[in-house]
Amino acid sequence: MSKRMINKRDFIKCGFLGSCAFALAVNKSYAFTKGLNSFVTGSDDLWKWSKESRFYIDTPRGVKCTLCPNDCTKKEGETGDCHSRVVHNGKIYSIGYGNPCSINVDPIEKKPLYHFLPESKSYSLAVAGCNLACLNCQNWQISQVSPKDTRNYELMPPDVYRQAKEYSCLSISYTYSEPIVFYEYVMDSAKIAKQNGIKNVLVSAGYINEKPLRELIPFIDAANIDLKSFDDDIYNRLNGGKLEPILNTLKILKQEGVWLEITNLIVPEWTDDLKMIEQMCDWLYKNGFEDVPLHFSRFHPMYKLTHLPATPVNVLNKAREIALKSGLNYVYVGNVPGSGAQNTICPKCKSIVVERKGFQILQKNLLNGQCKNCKTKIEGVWG
Amino acid sequence: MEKYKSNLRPAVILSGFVAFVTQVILLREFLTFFNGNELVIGVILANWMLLTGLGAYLARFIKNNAKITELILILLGSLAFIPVITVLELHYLSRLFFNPGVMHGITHVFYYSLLILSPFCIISGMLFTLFTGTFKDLSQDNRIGVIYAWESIGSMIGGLVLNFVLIWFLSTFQSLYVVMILIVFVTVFLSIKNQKLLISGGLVFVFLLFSFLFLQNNLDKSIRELSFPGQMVQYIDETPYGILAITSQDGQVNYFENNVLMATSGDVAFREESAHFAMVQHKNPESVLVLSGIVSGIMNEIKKYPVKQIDYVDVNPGIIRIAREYFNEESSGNVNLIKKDAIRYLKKTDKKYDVVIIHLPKPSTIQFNRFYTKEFFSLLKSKLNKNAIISLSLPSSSNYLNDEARKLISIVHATLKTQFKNILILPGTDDFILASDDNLSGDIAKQIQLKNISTEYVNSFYIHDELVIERSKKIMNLIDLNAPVNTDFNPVCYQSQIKLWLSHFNLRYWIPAVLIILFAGFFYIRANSLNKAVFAAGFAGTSIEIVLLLVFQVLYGYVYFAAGIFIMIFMAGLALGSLYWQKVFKQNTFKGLGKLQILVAVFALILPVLFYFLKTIETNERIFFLVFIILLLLISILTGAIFSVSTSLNKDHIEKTASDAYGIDLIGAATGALFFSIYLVPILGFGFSLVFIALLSSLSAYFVLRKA
Repeated sequence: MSKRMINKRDFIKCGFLGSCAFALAVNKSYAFTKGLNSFVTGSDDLWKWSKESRFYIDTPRGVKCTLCPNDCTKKEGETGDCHSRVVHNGKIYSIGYGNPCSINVDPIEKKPLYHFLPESKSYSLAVAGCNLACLNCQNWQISQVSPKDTRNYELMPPDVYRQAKEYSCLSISYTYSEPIVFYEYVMDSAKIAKQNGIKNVLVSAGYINEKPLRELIPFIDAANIDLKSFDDDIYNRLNGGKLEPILNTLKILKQEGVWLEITNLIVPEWTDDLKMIEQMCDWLYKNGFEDVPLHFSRFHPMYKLTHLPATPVNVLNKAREIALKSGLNYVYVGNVPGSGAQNTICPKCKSIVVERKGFQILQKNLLNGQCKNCKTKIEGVWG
Repeated sequence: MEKYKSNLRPAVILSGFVAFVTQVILLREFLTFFNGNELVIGVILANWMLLTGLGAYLARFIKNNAKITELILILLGSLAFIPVITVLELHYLSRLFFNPGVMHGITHVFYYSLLILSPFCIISGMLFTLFTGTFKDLSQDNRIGVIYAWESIGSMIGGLVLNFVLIWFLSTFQSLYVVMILIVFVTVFLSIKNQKLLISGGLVFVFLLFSFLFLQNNLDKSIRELSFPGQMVQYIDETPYGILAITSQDGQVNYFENNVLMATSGDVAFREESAHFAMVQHKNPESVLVLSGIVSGIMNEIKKYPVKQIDYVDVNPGIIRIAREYFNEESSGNVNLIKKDAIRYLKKTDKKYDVVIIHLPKPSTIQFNRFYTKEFFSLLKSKLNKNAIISLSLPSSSNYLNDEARKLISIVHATLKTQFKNILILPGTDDFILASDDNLSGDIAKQIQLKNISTEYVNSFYIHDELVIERSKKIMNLIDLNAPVNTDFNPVCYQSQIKLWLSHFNLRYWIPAVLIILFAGFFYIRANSLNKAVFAAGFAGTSIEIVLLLVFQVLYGYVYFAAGIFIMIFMAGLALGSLYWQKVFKQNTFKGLGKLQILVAVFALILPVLFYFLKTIETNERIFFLVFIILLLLISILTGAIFSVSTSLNKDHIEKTASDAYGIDLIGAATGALFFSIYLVPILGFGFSLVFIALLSSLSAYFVLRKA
């Protein structure tokens, strides 16, 4: 027998340990890859597009970020769950400042905002990163990575305003990924835009702590908040977040007079329970959101949720009926071309106030923000 | 002694038969909830081989020879029922471990397939070692090669029955029931012959229990309904190309292939974009070819133009059935449904087209890569009228193209550019890539209006031409003009598709490669020269089988029967090689083994030249087919012969020799299946990958000849 032959001890070791090593290594490699992205290149240098956050505290365990409810506590060089805030010299820096990876001009209805400057164009931008991890993220290529991993534009806040003006946009939308994680950039861009008469729109999941939100609100004119479900367990499993902070965000935005619209994406098997939708609508009504437009949006297989069908249109219509029955005045169905549920109906006389098709308005029976027919005020920023 | 031999021979053949049939059925079931790309398929197959190798190894510790026949009969009998339990486990446990509708990463694929496949594969592997031990006791001779041959014959018969009968006519559980009956019948027969009446009685009892389970439940329906929670399953067609399902839910009809949504009724945006983005570009589209994707309802959109003929081509007969029964597509007279592989159709047809709309599978496997090559687009162009338009799509870049998506779209762009003057990428629900020698324009809404086509979504209400053109320009500006061209023999496209898929899970492409090299390298380095030869033969055999299958599809087109025949021929070659090589050539020496390996190396080196020759000549299809059969037969005979010669040269005790050789053969084959197709081919191309095989075989030959 050759000495180099595999003996039985070796074979057992190789067979079992080898398989385990493969599995573990594949598993570990995931963390390792994440770890690789967690360090700033050249730890003594400030990142070119970094801006110190105002929301963190020093703790014995590390530096704790207080921007969002994730409450990440990280050590030197580590990145938060959002992929875009890093601990450097004991401080937290946002690393996507002036460094958006996606810029487009979109119709405002695409956000969706139906009661805010209708038919206007919105200068839309995003910086990589997100503080949630939705399994169905449409923009996963930018939301689940760091600004260091994306190809970015150099666009400092004054340039954002200039570009928006150049494209004749009435507003700037901080959108696609999650504006909360590029908070400082939003704040500074919004300040300049506001001073120069351009509105600011936050398209967000609303997963933010109260203090930073209240500081940002003076510069924000409108927001579309994605209320992803009305169940804490689903929020945890589907999005990696919690429900309560989002409800709090909605209340604060409403109190502070920011024009607010809410989107609820109905995902089959996850968020299509009509009882849960009813509870959500009841909560909205009881908390004074009856005039806040609610958009039920159709899910299409996306990112990691590829083994599900699209949401049946009937389910969306049923959800809309429930919402109307709960007392909400403006309920829409989105992502369904040709649906009649895009029109704004006067809550009093039930006549069509704004008739929409796609991103266009076919007919507008509004005068000074009131229904032409019965003079009822239709809530919104109509321009 | 001879009586025992003839008694157990059917058992060996049966174990090969069951292993093959179960492997194909389980792989198909796995792919209903794991993504069917090359990496996932490779990992499942690799786990299969590793677990079988582990089983072979474990069996060497079974020392109680007196009870060995009982044990063989019990284990063999258990293989009748384990596949049924495995399929049920695979579906029911998934509800326990995984969230609904979620696509799983490679780590999940690895762990879950390891867990689910363990019972079957370990028992199947154990049987191999037990058979060799028993035969040694009976014949006082090393009969490992013979067992290997019989098992291969079993696999060959399995391939025959599966590919020509079961997969076409029976569902998953019906096929498994047939397998169950066969195993129970043979095992009961052997038990009675060996006077093991308790075993035969027990088997019959369990069989009756399972039969009762089958009679009382529609197991196929149960597992399918489990796959589509909240939906009514209206139609299931388990085709050899995948499991097709139609479900309904709140008035909506969903069409799935392997549990991945193909289309939904009322998905206006995709249906209209895929038809009109291409159709409006042509001044007068009279003849249109659609390659796959009929369930989206695209045909009704095309019919809005004054077309004279629409030809629809799909390799899957199940899709054609759905088109006839659910879409009534042939009623309008100008629609022609053709059941054929796209390449095969294009090679045969004399027709020429104005517009070709392609919805062929994304290039996620080496097999689907052939629809994105320079050769394919060149073939397609030869069937186009002047100024014709072709359209294909890649997953939407939405608001950003990550590096992997950018690379993929750049490769497709570069490849199309070899044949067409103009290329335009239009963003929509997917990124639609249009190619033509004529001018292409992004003002879709305007064109739709000018042509007076009635649409629900593709119109100025939803599509702002200037914004679409702006987004299109952004994508076009991101195209890497130095991207490589995807060709049949340098298939780079599917590597990008795999990288794009891996980016969903933040896993780098090279990490699995390092793990495979470390794992396989460890075994290779520790193996003696004989087992090094077996490893290299396993690697070369599997890799070359893959090459031959793919090159045949590239040059000839895909035909399910042909693929089935190829696999059977390979198994037959293995059996022939291990049974008769020593008898015919009397080369039962280290020198002879070294020569065999050098022959494999030479064979691998000749193949690229041969492929080049075959590509340039026009020949009769039968001769062409025959050439590939001969090539397959040659490599499989050599692989079988190496296994047989090396095990007979090994002077260790037989269970150890058998389990080591069988294990290392499977590790070699698993490495071939994974490493060759996922890393070597996309990086080096077929030609240099074959050179790599030649080098590995030569290295192993060197180790063997040093001993000579």
